[in-house]
Parts: sequence; structure tokens; C-alpha cells
Amino acid sequence: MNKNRPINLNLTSIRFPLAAIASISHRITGVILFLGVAFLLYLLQTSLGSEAGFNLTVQLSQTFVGKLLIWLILVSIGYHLLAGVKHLMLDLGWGETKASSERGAKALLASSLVIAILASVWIL
Amino acid sequence: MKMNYLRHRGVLEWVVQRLSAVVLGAYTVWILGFFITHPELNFESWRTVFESPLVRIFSFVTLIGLCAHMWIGMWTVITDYITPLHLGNAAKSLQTVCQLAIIALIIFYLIWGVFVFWSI
Repeated sequence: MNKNRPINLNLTSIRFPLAAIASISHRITGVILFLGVAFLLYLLQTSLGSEAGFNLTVQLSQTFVGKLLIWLILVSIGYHLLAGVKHLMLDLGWGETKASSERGAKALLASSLVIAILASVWIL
Repeated sequence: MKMNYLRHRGVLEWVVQRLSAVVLGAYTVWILGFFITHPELNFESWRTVFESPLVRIFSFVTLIGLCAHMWIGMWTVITDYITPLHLGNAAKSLQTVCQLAIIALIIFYLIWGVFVFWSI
């Protein structure tokens, strides 16, 4: 293989069609959740530890920062889960054409918007 | 040609990432469903849920799956974006540092998670 083939991995110069936006968001939400596990484990440990701890997590979930973190994690989980399902469908060979991958990305982004709205309503 | 497919680079990771995803998805749907059906949750009933052996086994399997899933996912991201093409000669050592940090955090989560479920 010719090792001098031109390679472009410069993310700032690559055009991002919808499917690419859907794909990189899958990765970004994954990294968010990787860090978010710390917050979730903290909430689980505190809420299960004692009655006072349980009340503390309830109070925490009513603060602005608490709500923001929970919202971010909920939306990330929702997006990551749906993108994962879409990924499994791609594994089965569904939605691999240019037109259907565009449709798949649109469906994913649209349903994530719905999830974001539902998560906001639930938290507020 | 006969090949040992599981040792063929990437196949095991491919399978583990999908199997763990299914477990994580099931756990997510279960716990979200629980929260939605129990809006007035109190400490006693919350704790009773995690005292159930079935929930503890489910949580433990999910924790193991989560650790594997995080490692494969983060490895993929790191090896895609921290490359000599992006960062020149520093890439190799930076990649090692990132991988070690990721492994350390995953081991920390694993021990922490086991401790949380253990102490109930």
C-alpha cells in the first residue's frame, strides 16, 4: 500500500453531513457518560447509605447545578442508547445506503430532541 | 484458511461492546421505568429495591458490562484522535498517559461500584 497517500483527519476542515454529526455525537455523549458515572455512583451511594443521605440527594436534585447535571446525563443516555440501537441496525445491514443513512441520522436527531424536551419537563 | 476469530484483532471487542450495550440498555430502561412509576419514592422502598438479590445481580452484571463498554469506547476515541497526524511525536506518549488515566478511572469505578452494592 502506498504510504504517501494524502490523509486528512483535520476535524476543522472536514465537512460534516448529518450522519457524521450523528456519529460524533454518539462519541461525545459516550465521553460525557464516562465522566458522568462518577456523579451517578455518588448519587447511588449517598441515597442508599442512610435516610439523611437520601434526603440530601433529593435536595441536590432540586438545585440548579443538580438539575443541569441530571439533565445532561439523561439526554446523553437517551441519545447514546438510540444511537446504539441505530448502530446495531447498521450491523444488520439496515440503513447503509446514502439516502437511508441520511434518514436514519434525521430520525435519531429528531427523537433526541424529543428526549431532551421530555427530560426537561420531567426535571422541572 | 482456518483462523481463530476471537483472537483476530477487534472481533472480541466488537462482540463485547454489543453484548454490554444490550445489558446497559436493559438496565437503563428498567431503572427509568422504576423512577417513572414511583414518583413519590422514599428511602425505605428505594433501599428495599437494592436489597433484592435479583437487582443486585443485575446491577453487578451491568457494572462489569459498563466497565468493559467504557474501556472499548474510550480506547476507540483515544486512538482515533490522539495520533501523530494530529499531534506529531507527542502522540504516542500522550496516548499512553490517556489510556492509563482511563484504566485508572475504570478500576476506581469498579471498586467503588462493588463497594456501593456490597455495603447494602
